[in-house]
Amino acid sequence: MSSQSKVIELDIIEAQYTQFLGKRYLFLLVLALITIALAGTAVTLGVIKLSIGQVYEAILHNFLPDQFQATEEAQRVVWNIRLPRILFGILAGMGLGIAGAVMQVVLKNPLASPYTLGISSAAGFGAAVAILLGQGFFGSYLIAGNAFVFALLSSMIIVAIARHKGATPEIMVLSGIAIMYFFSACTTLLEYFADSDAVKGVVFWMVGSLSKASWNELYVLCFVLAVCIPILVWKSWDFNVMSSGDETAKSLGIDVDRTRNLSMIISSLIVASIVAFTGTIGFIGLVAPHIARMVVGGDNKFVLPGSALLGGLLLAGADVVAQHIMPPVILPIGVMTAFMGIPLFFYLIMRRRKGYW
Amino acid sequence: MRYLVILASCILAALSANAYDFTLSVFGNANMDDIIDNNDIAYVQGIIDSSNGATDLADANCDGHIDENDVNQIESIISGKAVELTLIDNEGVTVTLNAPVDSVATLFLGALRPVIHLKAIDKIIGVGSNTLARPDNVVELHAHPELRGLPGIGTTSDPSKETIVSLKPDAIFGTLHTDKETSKAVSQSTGIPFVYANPSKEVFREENGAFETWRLLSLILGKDEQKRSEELIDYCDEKINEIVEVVSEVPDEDKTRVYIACTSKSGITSTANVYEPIEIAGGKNVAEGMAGSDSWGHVDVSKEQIIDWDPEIILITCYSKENWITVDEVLSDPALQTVSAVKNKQVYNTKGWYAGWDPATGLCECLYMAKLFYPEKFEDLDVEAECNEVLEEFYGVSGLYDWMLENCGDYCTWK
Repeated sequence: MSSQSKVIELDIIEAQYTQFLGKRYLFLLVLALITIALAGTAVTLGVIKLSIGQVYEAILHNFLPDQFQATEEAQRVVWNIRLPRILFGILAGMGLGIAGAVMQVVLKNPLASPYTLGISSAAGFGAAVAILLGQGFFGSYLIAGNAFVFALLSSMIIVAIARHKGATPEIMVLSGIAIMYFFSACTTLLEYFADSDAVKGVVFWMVGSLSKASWNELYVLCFVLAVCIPILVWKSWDFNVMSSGDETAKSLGIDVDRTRNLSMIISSLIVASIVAFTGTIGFIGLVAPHIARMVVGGDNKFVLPGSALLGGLLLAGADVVAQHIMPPVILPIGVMTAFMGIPLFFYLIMRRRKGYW
Repeated sequence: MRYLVILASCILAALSANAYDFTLSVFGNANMDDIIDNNDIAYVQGIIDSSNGATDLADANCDGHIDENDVNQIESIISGKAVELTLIDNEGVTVTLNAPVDSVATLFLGALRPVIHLKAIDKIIGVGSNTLARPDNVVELHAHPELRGLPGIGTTSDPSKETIVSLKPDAIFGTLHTDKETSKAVSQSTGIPFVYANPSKEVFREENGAFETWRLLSLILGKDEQKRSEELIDYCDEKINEIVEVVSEVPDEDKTRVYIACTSKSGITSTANVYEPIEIAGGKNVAEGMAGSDSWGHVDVSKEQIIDWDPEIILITCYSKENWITVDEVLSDPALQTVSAVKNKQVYNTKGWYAGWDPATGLCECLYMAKLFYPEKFEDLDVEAECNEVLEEFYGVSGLYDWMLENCGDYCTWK
């Protein structure tokens, strides 16, 4: 009797788990569909009045020029102006979301994000060096290359501090803030003695904007994400184990230090390749993983793609609003992500049970 | 022989009058001087004959060869014919565009200004949204209120590419307020060339100053504008020379020591190591030679440093009746009471920078400062009348300086 009830209990648990699993897959699916719908709608919006038919004809004209006709203006607007910006918003948001999620889990710190750990400002300093002094690594990708090297440097400092015995979450975040201030100070010092024309470039770069989005940048970012995201998702089981403690993870045969270093390097690469084109966009990297975790729970197999999709949706959605709220003025992206994401974040914090983290 | 000497001296005089301290950065300016003219044709022919060395700007049509086609191209540029013009703009970006253009959109007030100066206002079909949002006390918009009726094309940091495409201007004129990656993205996605069209140095005769900007833009805008740019250059030269002739008699050690307070960032202690109107008016900028924090020469100093410099005149840049610091605040500053300018109540407003530097009001400042620095030498100078005339020359509206006195700042008057 008792063994029978155990079996029934297990069945129920299994059924519940399957249902929960189903819900999580559903969540990812819904996010992906909303993102596609957002992109599909955003491409029809703009100052130039193009009908939905014209827009999609312009898109399809590129692939099937004989079947679909499009004016040169519609082609230019859709292919050169609208599509790159929407896609760049989605990809950049995805990258920031997943990088934030990975940083939070490998450092076991809910306050970790590219911005709060000072990685964005380090990347910013690297780019400022490139812009102001024309010095740096990786030749033609000078700005992006420099951003990467400095992002990597700061993430290595963070990892070193994290490995130090007794490094509590508070110390980590304080160190991150210290790094952020340090690199901001370095950038200010550089700016102070640099040519104002170049400084203007740095200032834009520090503010964050999708104005520079074009296909070339999109290809680079697409390549980086196509390589990095699968690696991180593949590592999600290791992250799950690591979240129960380094010792446990080690006893299960995971090379904790190697995994942590590798994932921080990959996250830094993602952040640097985004920050190098858009400037520092805060918030997404911190908030998207939290929202994802609140909805799908702690399993990183879902948290990572969920954070990526949410980040993409938030950033692209915010940019659509920023562009269309008072045309032709395009509001700064950072303002919109904060205005739209923070109420959602507060709502979820108030609604959720304690200790989701 | 006598005629030869006269001819030679005429040529020399013409050369000296035209020899400015800049190279007009347009492909076709083969002899690398400050203008495109028949001398460039002769120079290119010299290169073809191997009697002259090739220069950076000699390949007028940028096809990689210096040949007869370049001579034809330079002839077309000079005559204002339709031509594919390649130039290096005020921010050092090489741009190729079909000149002359019929329409332009300007992204910032600083790029709109030279177009107004060149009397090409009819060609402006869109302006930056930031320009439209400016207050009423802006000279350019007061003189040409019709500009406020033009469509906005977005902000300098994120221009609305779609609006630009919908307006179809032949060129977009911007300033350093739009960074180079953004301007590149704008011109790539709209297919419309972006030209940095604002003097990046607040000077008249030097590299990237007002004179070069006018000449550069006039080549883009057309024959009438080319003529107009020469008129403006001659006009400024004449006014500046009138002042310089008088103040050049003053020995260096007797020059009026001047301190210019110039941004609201740090109040009275923020100055500039260079402000050309001060030099032209024969003043000695006390901050000259200090390491500036940017190309505009901004320097932050201490009040102690101001006391040590002991300027005879303190100028405060001011373009609005509600300025960031008033003359009275400086006069009553307890820390500055030992400074000559404060003791003798020689603290004045001057226009200074506003959305970049305006050579029109800059020229007025030269006259204004000359009279402030050397009242006895310029006793007969009627600053108000002269400045009204200057602004009318640039903006085509009479009484603009009187309007500025009422609306822009508490400038000294001698009425």
